[in-house]
Amino acid sequence: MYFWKCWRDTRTQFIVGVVVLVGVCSLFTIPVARLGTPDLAVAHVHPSIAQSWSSVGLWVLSFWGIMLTLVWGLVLGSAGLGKEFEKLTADFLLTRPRRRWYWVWVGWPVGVLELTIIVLAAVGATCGLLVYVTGHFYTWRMLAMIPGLGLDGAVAYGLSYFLSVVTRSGRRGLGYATGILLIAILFPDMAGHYWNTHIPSLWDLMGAICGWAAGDVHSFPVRAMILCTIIALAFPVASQIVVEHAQA
Amino acid sequence: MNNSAIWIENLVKLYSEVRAVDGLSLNVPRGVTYGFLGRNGAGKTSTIRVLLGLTRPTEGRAAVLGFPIGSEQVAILERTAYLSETKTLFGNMTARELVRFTRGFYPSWSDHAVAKYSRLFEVPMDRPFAKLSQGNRTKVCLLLALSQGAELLIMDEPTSGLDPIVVDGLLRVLVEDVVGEGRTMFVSSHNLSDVEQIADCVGIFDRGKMLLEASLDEIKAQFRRVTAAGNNLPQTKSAAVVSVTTDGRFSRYIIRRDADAFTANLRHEGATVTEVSTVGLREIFLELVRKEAPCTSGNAGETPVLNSSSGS
Repeated sequence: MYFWKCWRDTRTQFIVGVVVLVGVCSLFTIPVARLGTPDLAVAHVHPSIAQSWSSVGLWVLSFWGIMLTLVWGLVLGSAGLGKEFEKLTADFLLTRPRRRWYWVWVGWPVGVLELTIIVLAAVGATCGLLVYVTGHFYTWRMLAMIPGLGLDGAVAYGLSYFLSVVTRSGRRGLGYATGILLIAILFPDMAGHYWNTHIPSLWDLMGAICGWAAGDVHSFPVRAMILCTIIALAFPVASQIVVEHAQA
Repeated sequence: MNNSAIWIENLVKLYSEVRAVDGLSLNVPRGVTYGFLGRNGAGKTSTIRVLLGLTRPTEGRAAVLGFPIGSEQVAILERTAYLSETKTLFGNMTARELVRFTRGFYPSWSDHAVAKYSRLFEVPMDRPFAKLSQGNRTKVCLLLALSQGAELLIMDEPTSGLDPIVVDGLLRVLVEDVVGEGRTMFVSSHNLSDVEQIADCVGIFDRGKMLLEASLDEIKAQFRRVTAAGNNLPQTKSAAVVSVTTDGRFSRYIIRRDADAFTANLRHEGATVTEVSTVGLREIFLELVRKEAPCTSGNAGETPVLNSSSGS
């Protein structure tokens, strides 16, 4: 029943997320493709053009896809369990006969599932549009964007979920998570630019996957994906610990 | 402990420097209705929250329906219905959806009870909870609590926001359906007349301490107010003397038992006994928790006029 409640609470954000991601990714795919390939109107194009278009798809997904997935991850995370404390409904929830971990491990996957569907829809729409326009399915490697975007989104979602639980407020959790995420994105770039130091960033995973999908890099970024998975899973574990010790 | 619906021993709950509950011991037998009475901020809600696992005790032990709190919290919550003081549920859900949400958690859930109480309380089933009046919100909370088929009902201010007709219906339901089926009720309230109608026992609680615990039958049959005039009248409390207050030559006593023996003793010491009368729950409550200065909020009151303490 709690799964149903979580879905019910976030379905609007989810539907808007699907529409926005699919819309934006589709919208940017064709104009960007036009810039690189003037003969877009040709239905069955040369494979080299199809390849450049798939690169366009990768570019669109890696920028707009990741930005919007991160935003939706933050938004969905802030609508999690932390919001119940803010709305004073935690008393009602926590006096239902379930262990405290139940509320985290039933609620958290709802957002992950929604993010996965959003990402599937965005990647599917981008790929589908390119295939429709070019008549070629140049590289299946583009589909590796799905776990890449999904994991980045899950990290943002988990961070926002966790901070909402810690601060007992969806809005505060969203604010803090956005700040931390901006620092996590901008600081490694600054460090690289000014001090020539490499600090791991959320972009690294997507960059590595894009490189692999485009054929620039031969090895799939397994380590980066495992690391991202561990980070994404650490947040619900930490949230569980907080909730189990919370005095509502 | 195992035969009690609620058993508490030396419970202490601290919030920073504030002692919300200060060494409370309590025993509520199964099948009784217990009125847990106290002023705002007396520690009633803190005690209830400890029992329900919403907060942890600083010291002391407690058990609900034989299950120790903390380690057996799910077993406690399966058998306990809780009506919170705030009566806040999910604002975007209707009563029908809240029933659907809650039903799945309780094996003894009764749809028959949902139909009965929704009709009796005239619960608007299809309006979002957030758009309901305070009274209707209370009705929805009551509907959910009563339909759980719980062995123990813990209710924090159950009649707040309800009109007298609904209060009357509710009290009748509580007596007939809950008490009549041998279930236990633990009712925390300011409304002494409501409690007086349904309770078997009452506990008067202030500043985290139990001041008095007695059955209503005992209060009706044995409690007396004795007013006496004289010099050097006794000012000490005992098991029989619940409270003493002095105004000039007059002293007023609330006597728990053996009022005849007490008045005889006063006369023997030279006092003039001017009045011996029965005493109601309301008067006992006011005598025990009355403060010298008007209280602005919570536990803000100063030293009581009466040097009250438990008579038990």
